[in-house]
This record gives sequence, C-alpha cells and structure tokens, in this order.
Amino acid sequence: MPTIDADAHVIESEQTWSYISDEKWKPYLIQPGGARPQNWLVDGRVFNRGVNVNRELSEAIREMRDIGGRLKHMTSSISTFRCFIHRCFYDR
Amino acid sequence: MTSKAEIEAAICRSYNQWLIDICRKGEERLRWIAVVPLIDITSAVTEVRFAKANGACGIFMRGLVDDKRLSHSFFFPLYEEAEKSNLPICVHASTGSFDWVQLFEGENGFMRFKVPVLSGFHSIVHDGIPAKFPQLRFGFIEVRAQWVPYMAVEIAKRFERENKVIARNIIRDNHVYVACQTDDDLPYVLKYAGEDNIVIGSDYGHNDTSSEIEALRLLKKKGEVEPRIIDKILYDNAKALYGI
Repeated sequence: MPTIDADAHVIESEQTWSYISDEKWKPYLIQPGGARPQNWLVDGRVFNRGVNVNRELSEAIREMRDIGGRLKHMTSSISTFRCFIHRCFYDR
Repeated sequence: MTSKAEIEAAICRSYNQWLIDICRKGEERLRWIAVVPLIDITSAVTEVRFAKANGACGIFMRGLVDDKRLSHSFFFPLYEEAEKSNLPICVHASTGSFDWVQLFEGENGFMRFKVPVLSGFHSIVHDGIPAKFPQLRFGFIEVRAQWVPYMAVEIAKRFERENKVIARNIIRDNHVYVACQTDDDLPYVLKYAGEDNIVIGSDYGHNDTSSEIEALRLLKKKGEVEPRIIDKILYDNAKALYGI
C-alpha cells in the first residue's frame, strides 16, 4: 500500500533564489567560512541557515540537487511513495 | 522576511518555481506546497492561481502573520481562492511575526514556532472560518496531535459559555487535518479527532523535536491502533487533505 509523508522539507540553497531576476532582491548567502554558521541576508534582515538540518542526510539530498538519491532514500529507508514538501525557511 | 511587498512576491515565486522544477523530476512521487506573499493579498491570490496551475497541493501559512491572526478578514480573499482551487491551507510550525519571535528570544523553539500553530487553530475554529469557507480544508503540521483533546474540550467549554453551537467533532466538522507523531498517545487523540483526520509526516531534512525519518514505518510497528486506521493515517487521510 502506498504511503504519504505529509510533512517533508527541502533546504534552501542559492539555487532556490535563482529565478529572481533583480539581483538586489535575492536572499544573499553570508558564508563566514570554517565552522561558523551561515546566514541569509534578506532585505536587511539576517536569518539562520543550516541550524535545523539533519546532517545524516547528504547535502545534495537535503537541497534536492540529488533528486534520484532522495527518491531512492524514500523507498529504501522510509517506505514512502510520495513526499510533500513544506517550506522551511527560518522555521525551527 | 521583508516588509516590501514586491520583494516578498519575488521570493515566493522563485521558491515555488524551484519546487515546481524539482517535482517535475520526481517521477510523480513528489508534490509541493506553495508559499504565497501575504503583505499584498492580491498577490497572494495571484500566487494561489499560479500554484494551482503548476501542480501544488496546498498553501503554506504560519500561525501568526505579522500583526494578524489567521481569522482576520484580510485573509478572506486568499481563503476564497484556495477553496475554489481545492487547495488546503497548511499551517506549519513557525511564526510570521517578528515581534513574537523577539518576545521569546533566548527560549527554545516551543513558543516561537509551535504555539503560533495552536493559536492559528483556535482563531480559525473559534471565529467560524470553516463555516465561511465550507469546502476549504486546513492542515496543522509539525506540532504533534497531542493538543487535540485539550483544544476540543477547551473550545467546547468556551462555546458553551458563549451560547455558540458546538461541533460534534471539532476536527472533522471543521475540515481540519492534524499531523501526529509516533510518540503521541494515538488512541486518546483519535477519540477526539476521529480516524479520518489524522496524518503523519517525517519532517524529512530537519533535525528537531518533530523529526523522525522512520515515522511512517514506526507507526505501523507500534500496533497501538488497528491496522485499518493506520492505513488511513499513512495514506487515505493525507490524500484527502491534499486533494490528490
């Protein structure tokens, strides 16, 4: 029997905002380097990035660059046949 | 995120387009929930139409939006369009009020991100929004379901004092769906929610008190409720919530 995961997430990356044509409106990724946390700068406000993230999953799967990997993991590890993506930007 | 309507609209559209492109490569196993700009309600309605035309199965909302509760008439055009589009309003753990976040700065995420969802439920049900939009479904996601019995009794008591009509089942009769977690006391929750309005999610990708990547498998293993009801939670109820 198919199952539906009613609450799954993707983690935003710079790709997420690549559809915004006006550069000055794009969320800007602040990358201080090393182990220091990254943040998004959005219209003068700073939002955490990567605080609430399952690091046991690969970054490519979390950020949906590896869609095949995500689908494979859904099948083999959590038995889901469908997955629903909820927005997660700065939500914890 | 911003107080500028045009920036909010651009960010929402980009986010939605990104999800559309991802889901198109998802072998029909991925569906998406749209974010809509809420500073300008006309833009919100436009985004609902765009979302519907591109395969979305719900509209994301926070439990508080700036200085407004979810029962504020400001949102009625959005609810009307979502109802017309057969897209549920999905209220997910988070808040859209910077003042609220500031108030609980330094605490863990409970008050900042979980409690606003319960506030959203109370506003919607107490203020009769489901009766105004009788075909509109609501999802309350990533706050467990353990609160359902408390809220059902509390609202019933308040309605009684206000001489209002009390729904026989406050969840089902208001077209509400609630996402449970495997450590909820499900038999107790089901007594108040009924068996057709509970769904479950894994919080895939996150790492917080609601994250349980094996949730769907574990629910079956626990054996606390009949397999027939588990199948509803794992499939039928979510199918009904998301209209797919």
